[in-house]
Amino acid sequence: MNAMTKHILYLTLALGVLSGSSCRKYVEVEQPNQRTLKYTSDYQALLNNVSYFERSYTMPLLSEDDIDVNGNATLETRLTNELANIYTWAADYYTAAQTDATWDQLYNLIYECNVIIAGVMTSESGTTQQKQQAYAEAKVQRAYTYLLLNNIYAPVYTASGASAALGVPLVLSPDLFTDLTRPSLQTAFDQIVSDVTEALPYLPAVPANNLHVAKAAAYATLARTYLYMQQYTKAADYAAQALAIQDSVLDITGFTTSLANYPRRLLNPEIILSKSTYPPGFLYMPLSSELLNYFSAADMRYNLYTRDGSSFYPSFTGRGSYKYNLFNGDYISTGPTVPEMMLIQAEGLARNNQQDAAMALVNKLRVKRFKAADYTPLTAANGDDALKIVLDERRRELFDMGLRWFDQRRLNLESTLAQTETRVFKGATYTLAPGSNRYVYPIAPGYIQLNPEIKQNDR
Amino acid sequence: MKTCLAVALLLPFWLCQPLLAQQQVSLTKALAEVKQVYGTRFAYEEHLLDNVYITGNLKLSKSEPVENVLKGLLYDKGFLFLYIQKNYYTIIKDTRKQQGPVSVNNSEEEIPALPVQSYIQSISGRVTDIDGKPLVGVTVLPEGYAITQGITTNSDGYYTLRLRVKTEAIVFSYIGMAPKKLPIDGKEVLNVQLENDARQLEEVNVVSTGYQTIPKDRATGSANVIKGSALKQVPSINLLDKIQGLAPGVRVDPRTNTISIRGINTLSTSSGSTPLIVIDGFPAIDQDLTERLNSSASAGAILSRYNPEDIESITILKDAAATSIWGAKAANGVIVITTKKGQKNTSAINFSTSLNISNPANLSQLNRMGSADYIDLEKEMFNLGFFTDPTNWSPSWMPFNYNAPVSPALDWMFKVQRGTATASQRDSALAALSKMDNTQQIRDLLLQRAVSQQYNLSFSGGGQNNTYYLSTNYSKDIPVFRSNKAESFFLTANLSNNLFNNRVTLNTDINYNYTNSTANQAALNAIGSTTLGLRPYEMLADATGKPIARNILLQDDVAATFVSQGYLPWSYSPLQELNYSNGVNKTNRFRFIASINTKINSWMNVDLAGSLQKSLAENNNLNELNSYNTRILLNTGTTVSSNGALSYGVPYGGELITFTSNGNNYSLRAQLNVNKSWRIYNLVALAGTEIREDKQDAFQQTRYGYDQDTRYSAAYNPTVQYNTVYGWTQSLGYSDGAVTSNINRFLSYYGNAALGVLDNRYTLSGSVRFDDYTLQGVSRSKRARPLWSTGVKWNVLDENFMKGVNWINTLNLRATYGTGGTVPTSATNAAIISLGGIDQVTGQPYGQITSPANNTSSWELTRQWNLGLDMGFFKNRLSVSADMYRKKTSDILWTFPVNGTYGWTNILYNAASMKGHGFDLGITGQVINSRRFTWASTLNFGYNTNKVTDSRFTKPTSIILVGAGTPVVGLPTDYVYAYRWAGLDNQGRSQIFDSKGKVVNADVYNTSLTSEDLVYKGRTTPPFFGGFFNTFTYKGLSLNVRVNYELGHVFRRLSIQNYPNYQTNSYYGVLGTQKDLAKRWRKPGDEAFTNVPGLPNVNYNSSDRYANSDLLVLSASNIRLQQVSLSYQVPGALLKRLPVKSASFSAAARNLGLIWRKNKEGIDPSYITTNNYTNLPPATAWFFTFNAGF
Repeated sequence: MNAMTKHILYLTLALGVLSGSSCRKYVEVEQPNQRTLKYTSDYQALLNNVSYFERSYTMPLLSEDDIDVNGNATLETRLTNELANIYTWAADYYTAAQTDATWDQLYNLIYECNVIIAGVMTSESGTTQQKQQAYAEAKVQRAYTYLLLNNIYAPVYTASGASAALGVPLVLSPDLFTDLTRPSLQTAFDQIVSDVTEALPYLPAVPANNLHVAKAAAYATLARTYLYMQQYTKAADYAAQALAIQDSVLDITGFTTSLANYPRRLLNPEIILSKSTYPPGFLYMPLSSELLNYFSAADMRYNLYTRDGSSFYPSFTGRGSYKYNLFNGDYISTGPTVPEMMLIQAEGLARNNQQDAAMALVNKLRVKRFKAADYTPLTAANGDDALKIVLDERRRELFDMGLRWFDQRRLNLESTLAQTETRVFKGATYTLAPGSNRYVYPIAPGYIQLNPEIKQNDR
Repeated sequence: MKTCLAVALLLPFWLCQPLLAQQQVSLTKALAEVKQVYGTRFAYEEHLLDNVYITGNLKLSKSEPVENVLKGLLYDKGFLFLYIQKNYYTIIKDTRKQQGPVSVNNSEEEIPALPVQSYIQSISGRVTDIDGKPLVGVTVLPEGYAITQGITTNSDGYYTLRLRVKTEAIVFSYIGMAPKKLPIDGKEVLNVQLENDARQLEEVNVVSTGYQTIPKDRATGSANVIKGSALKQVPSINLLDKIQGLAPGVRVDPRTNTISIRGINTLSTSSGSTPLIVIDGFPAIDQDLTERLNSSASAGAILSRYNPEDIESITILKDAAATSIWGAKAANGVIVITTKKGQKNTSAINFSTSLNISNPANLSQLNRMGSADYIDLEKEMFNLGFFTDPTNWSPSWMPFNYNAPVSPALDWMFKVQRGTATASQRDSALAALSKMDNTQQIRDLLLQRAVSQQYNLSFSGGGQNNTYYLSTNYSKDIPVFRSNKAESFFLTANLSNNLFNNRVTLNTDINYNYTNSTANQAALNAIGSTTLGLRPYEMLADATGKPIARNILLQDDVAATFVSQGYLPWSYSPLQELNYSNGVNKTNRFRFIASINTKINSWMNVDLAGSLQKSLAENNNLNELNSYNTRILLNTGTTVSSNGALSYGVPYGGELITFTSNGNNYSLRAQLNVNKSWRIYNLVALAGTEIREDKQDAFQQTRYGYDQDTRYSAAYNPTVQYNTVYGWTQSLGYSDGAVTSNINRFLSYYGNAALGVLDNRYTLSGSVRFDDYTLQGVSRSKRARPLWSTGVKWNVLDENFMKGVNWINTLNLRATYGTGGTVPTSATNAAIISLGGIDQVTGQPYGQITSPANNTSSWELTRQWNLGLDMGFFKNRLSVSADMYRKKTSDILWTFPVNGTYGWTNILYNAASMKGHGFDLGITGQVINSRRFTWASTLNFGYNTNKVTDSRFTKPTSIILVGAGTPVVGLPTDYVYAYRWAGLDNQGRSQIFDSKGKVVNADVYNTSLTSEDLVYKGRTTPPFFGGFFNTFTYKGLSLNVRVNYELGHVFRRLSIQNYPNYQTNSYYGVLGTQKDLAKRWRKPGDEAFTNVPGLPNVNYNSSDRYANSDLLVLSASNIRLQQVSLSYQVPGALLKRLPVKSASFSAAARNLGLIWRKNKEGIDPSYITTNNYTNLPPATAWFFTFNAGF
């Protein structure tokens, strides 16, 4: 073997050894256009995604008594099977082959939150404060989303029944194929409260914009949570804390002639946390006469947020919600707002027989809803009176955004407020009695087929 | 690997011992052993040593001179060996009558001293080749006396032969040249010129895997070798045409211009079913053999990635044992291209040129209705209210009437309706239109005679220690569509040097390829079915030859108003567009491959090799100012300001979109090769490691206001809103996007061993490969998986019990099993974020998770069994090779629904499975093999089918089955389902039978049909396919007839296209022109004789169910006469006075059409993707080729 040969042999051996020892590093290169989450800014970018984090729900807008198809045959035929099922509070909404878009979208949002919660604290190139803030934001977003899911797919929370009732499946990590057994409703709500509570210290007082969670949004989430848990004092307390940070109410009386300066959703000072939706099936429905009766003609909300049925396609008689159409391509806002917090606080006060304090809040809101000439402050003689005024105001302020359905769910459990809902659809009459199981959405059968550990709601 | 080898080593010991004593070895094998030990090479006439056996055990050792060994082997059997050069001998038959002891004349120096008085005559002279260059080592023999009397020429080509016996003539022979006999006639000086022998010596059959070259008789795997000479028989510019049918089981699809080996192994389109293409040992940077411009049309221009003239051979590796050395990318088979190298001690120049001419496709084959029928269709639609008068200014919010114009025929109908023309005026105008027919103008003005030219020049040769092969090629392909062309230029230099006393071999391959293509869509658009398509009566040019331009967007008077305001014309003329909107693509490709092979000892050597490949492509799409695209873009963005001046929203000028892409690829490899024989064993093994990187970058830039002369373009803000003529605003937008990049790295360890036992009577092979590759966030244990194969081969003929069998001369049995992979490109084990830029409202950068962490993703795995049989009969006059295989692919990536509760409704993961099986059969025979006339015939036959086995693909709905887009368990991937046709009802609408034979009318929704209501009709890819080739030669003439066939599949006949699916009053665009449309139902009663749904009462179910009915599913089986060629090899004698060593001419006709088809409708089933001009069967192409060697 001559020298040359030896050299080549050594070189070969060296190359073999070299590639053997550094092999992993060699192939582990990053793809320039897409990559795994690595930097804190990657997680922040997820939280900045408007089209993800603004998601809420659509179907409750069809269940609530704010709308009424009112025998309009055109609309009746346009309601596809599942929409008609929802509209008539049927036992089942979807077939086995269908998916539930609301469920899918909200759980997808939870997946993103879980990715952030699981990874952001170990991400690169971010300060601890930045990481903690993103972590806290994701926790509140997840809590908020679970609140919506439980409000739709789980029975109403009651202090007595929460440990026996089932909440929605609680997925807390970004792992696929985990067990999806439904936890108790108590566990579900405990998780919501603890997530928000844990997040609060790390949240800024004021967000960059209302897509992001700041302290006010966290308090607002807790206020809503306790409202739906029917713990009204706590709800009022948290609403007050939210309002302490953010309390501007938009004077809408200036928009009679032109919408030119009407703030878009992400810039609206009333919105504490921006969430959006659109009309179910993109169908415009007539508002129920029951709802319209709450309005006086001078109410600017009536003038601004509703329009005659001829403005819509397909057109109908009566009035329809114009919330979706205020801006072309803008959505219906469903997130917590200053007025909602004021009304939650007012409801807590009223239920605690502090009618004057409650009325002060209601009037503070109404003064921005009527032209000066049309405005008269409301008064309440007692707590019950005040509660009725507050709940009426909720209907006016919070119509066509799904919140009415959530109110219906909790209020029909109170004997004084309970009422039987009826709907006529394609000639048949459907009723929804107080305390009915139909106040709970069925879980689409496809999910149960894939994971039989998910128990269906009682029908 | 370890266990596998150990088994291979231990197994044969007990087998071999008793057999040693009486061992029968064929002489060729013995010589091969000699070659192994001494490195000696031999040349001998074809079949000279067939069926010659020696008995006894060869004991070869280098201490004994090779001459002694050869004497022992050859003399007993009546053969002699002649010295040519060092370690190189010619073997000839000893034709002497036994004349005493035999000795050998090896060279001048070793001429035994002969008694001077014993010779009677001395003849001397010089032997040269056709160029006059001296030939060294030519054997010069007195006729009939052979070796002892013979001598060889010296280094100047001179010889002196002393004759000891009386002889009439002298015979001169030299390897690679035709032997020559010259009468002595008393002359003392005989000068001779020897000519190249057209019939070369038998080549050693080898299989190249890209990592090694193994003799075919030792390969356990299934592979087909296509030699360069076979490729040459098809003069087409398209390499796929050249390969078609040559290897059983390998299918070329002319419609998609793709190649597949043994069918498909995957369901996912992203990983694909294309084989891995390897060039000179390394995967090619472009994984395709050819590219076709105008990819939607079968007649687009062809760009070849490789110069066919440079190809020495193409080896197609088919089974796991053959492909597994390529590991993770080899599941779909491997195509190994080996380029030509020079030969030592020779020099040659070769020139070839080929010209191809073909007419545009035969337009008379178009299934197209005439103008009268077309107008009749329009008239019926008009009467049924499918059109609204475009002059109605509606809706009222239009700032001007921007309704699109209707066809000329409809325009007349509306004129009468409006009262601006009389019925008789209309009828005479329509009668005039009915007489118009644009077929001839399309042929003359949009199509042209397709011409392709190829020129190739190569220099090759070598000295004692080096070889060179230099070649250059220019090819130009002009297709039938005007304004399209493709040019390519190749430059190749393959060099090899032996250094350090032949211990080290340095090989260098340098290759450059430049392609330049121009694509223009005008001709295709005009004959297509978009709104730019022509109706049968719409002419291209008027009587004076002036191009006709039509308004497509706006009515003539509306457009004219704008033009009078200073707008550009709105009209479209296909003829003018031939000059505009060209896409010009220029690509430079470089390939450098270098390898150093070092011998460590006689049985071990080391390869160090590397390749560097680069491709630089630039595609310029220029829409000139005068192009239709730009005129419409500018006009749309132009408004008239209050003072009457035009205000341009889009910069005035052309639009230039430049797309640049760069590919970079390098590989480095270190490999140890072993080739050792001991006792009864022979081991060929290799082990190596390899790294590879693939890197791609691409970006696009769009310029507006481009001026071709100054090359200047305008600055623009893509987000600025401008007013459009229609009254709304829009912006140019930013379409260029990010610089897309991707990088993939591979790291591999591999090993391969073949152990031959008992003179290779039994061969055991095994290989293993371990690939690691770039896959985001996936742990190494998931990423890297070993792929392996094992195989065994039994040479039955070497067994004792076969000794008496003479008529069989090859009988091998092979069995292999192994795995191959397909690298996933999309599924990832970590959540992947895609960053989306800045949100317009919040001003914050945002992103989203595009795929979730999926801890199940890995590569797709194909397991394959292969059983093979090779047989040769009657001195290999007839050889048969048959293979049977079974494949099973698991872990196929597929998007399966998952529980939305996990956050994702669908996830791509390795879950699906499928299987396939088939057989390949190749039969080659020398039917006639006389001296003057030969007939060689090859029949290749392949069968392949597959079946989805994943039970998750169940419960298909009727819509899924008819759409055929989703795999279904138990069915092949390319299934065809159809509605059971039940004729039309009395409203002219489709009816079908359900599973119970009940008639279902068009009012019944598809959702109420189930899968049982449909009928299975078969597959769209042919299960049976192959080629049948015959070559007849008579003297220098050779006739080659090539037939390809595809059997057993089905296709959907196109019957109605652009036919209304529903009632509308605004039907827009160009209606279909199928003849079937003229047969449509018109009035009750018509259903008795037509099946084409009528226009009254039309709905989607009616037209869709007809189009997808079993009535229109036809057998696609066909046999095609692909090519007939005649070539003539000019005899050397005629070339004597010319400076040409060899010359040949050939003429070929390709695309001669179908010999047989099963369908009765007269349709060529291979060209049916759409039944318009773009996919007509190609017309016969004529090729003229000239080849010359110097």
